Amino acid sequence: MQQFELFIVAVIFWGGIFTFLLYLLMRMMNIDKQLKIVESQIEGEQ
Amino acid sequence: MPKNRLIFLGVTAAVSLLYVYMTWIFAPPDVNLGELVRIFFQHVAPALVAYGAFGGTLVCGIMYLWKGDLKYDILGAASLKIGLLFTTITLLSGMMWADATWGVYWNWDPRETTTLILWVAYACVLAYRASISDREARAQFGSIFGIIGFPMVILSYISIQIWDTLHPQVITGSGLEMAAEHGMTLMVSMIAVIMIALILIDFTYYIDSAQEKIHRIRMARS
Amino acid sequence: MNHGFQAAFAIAKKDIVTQMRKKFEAFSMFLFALIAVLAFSFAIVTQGSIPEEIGSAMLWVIIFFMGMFGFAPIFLSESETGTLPGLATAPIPAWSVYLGKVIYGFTLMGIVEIFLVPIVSVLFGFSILNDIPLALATLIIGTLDLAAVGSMASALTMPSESKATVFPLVYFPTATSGLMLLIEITKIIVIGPGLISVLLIFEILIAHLVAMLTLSASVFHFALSS
Repeated sequence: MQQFELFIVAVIFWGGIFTFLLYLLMRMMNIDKQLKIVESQIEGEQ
Repeated sequence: MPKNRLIFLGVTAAVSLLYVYMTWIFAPPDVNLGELVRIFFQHVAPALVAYGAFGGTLVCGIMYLWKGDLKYDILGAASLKIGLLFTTITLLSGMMWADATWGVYWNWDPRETTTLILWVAYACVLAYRASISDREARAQFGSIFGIIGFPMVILSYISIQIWDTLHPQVITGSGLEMAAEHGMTLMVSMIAVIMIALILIDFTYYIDSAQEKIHRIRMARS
Repeated sequence: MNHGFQAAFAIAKKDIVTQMRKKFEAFSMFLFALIAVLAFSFAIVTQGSIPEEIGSAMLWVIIFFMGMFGFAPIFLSESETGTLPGLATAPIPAWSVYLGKVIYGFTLMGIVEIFLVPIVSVLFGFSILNDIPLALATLIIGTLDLAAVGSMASALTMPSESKATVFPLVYFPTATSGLMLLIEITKIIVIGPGLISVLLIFEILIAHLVAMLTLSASVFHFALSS
């Protein structure tokens, strides 16, 4: 029974951190793309 | 990605691996807790780091009100989100621990209750921030809310000294009351979790300020 | 400093006088409290009575929710009638505006509580007369604590679009910590002695009140200026 709880706690801890990290990385990739688009638009206007 | 950030990421990964090794292999089973001592290392460090992150929100709020620079507000919000993440981890791992030792997931222990209130309070700060559309007002009033929410952190921290509680009191005035190996593991876990938290805060800050920049450019163009 | 306190009392007095002229607000708060008493009674009455400690705890829960009606309009009415810029530009320190509103909120709640507390204690069958000084002190400090939080929460709702939903969002989490301590103290008053632990919790409550008042008063300037 204790093995189960230990396993769940590890999943909560690392799962929480890595899920958040993954979410941040996905947002980061997305935001970099958007930033490039916006910057190229500004250059295009000039 | 800048070089400094990559180096910091590498160091964190190394420390985290050491932390995993120490938690699961190095630390011997405790006299009282047995194998459950391994939960301890994944419960205490996130809790203290969450308190620290909310403290960071407080400091950033004060800095924003003082300097009026939007970057402090973004940093405070990032710190707030990471604090919430770690409070969630603390609550859930605490629930599992309570189930293992006391047989129930939740027994309204003062520490549990105050930590849940803390979670709700800071989640409310996040929701409150989202309800204000004007950027300057959001920063200003969000900072104020972040400041007046801080007494809750202190209450949660001292709750085990006020009430009779089942929650073990490890860090007392006379230092750590545990085996040397466990003390070392706790130190490593603190360092690892702090570094992880700093990375997450840094990423969130980077994303939010980029978002801010894009938003501002779009506003200026339209 | 003195000037600030005078201004605070002037603001509180103005609000109380306006309130006395309207009357319906305090009365509807009282009615809401009675409805809450009934609603809770459905849930907790077992065989015609309510355990003392639960009844006394419910007293504070009711006062806590009543605060929503008492405190939410504090700054809402100012911004509706357009007197807020006047307060912001008046030659008085911002903290005295806050203090005035706290005194007003405290008075409004206090007036309702004078009627409410005896009624609730009779209906729920508990007595806070075991320790009258402590009970009075708890009522006063507790109401002041709720007023300190509530006035600040009301000020924080001003910039938001959906003011009605945001007020509980700000008020509940910041007031819950005080509520928890208040319920604890009242339970001890009702059930029996335990003076040492009461004093400790009472000190924490006062510390909470002082922290809320000083923090809010020191940042209030920023809430008014925008």
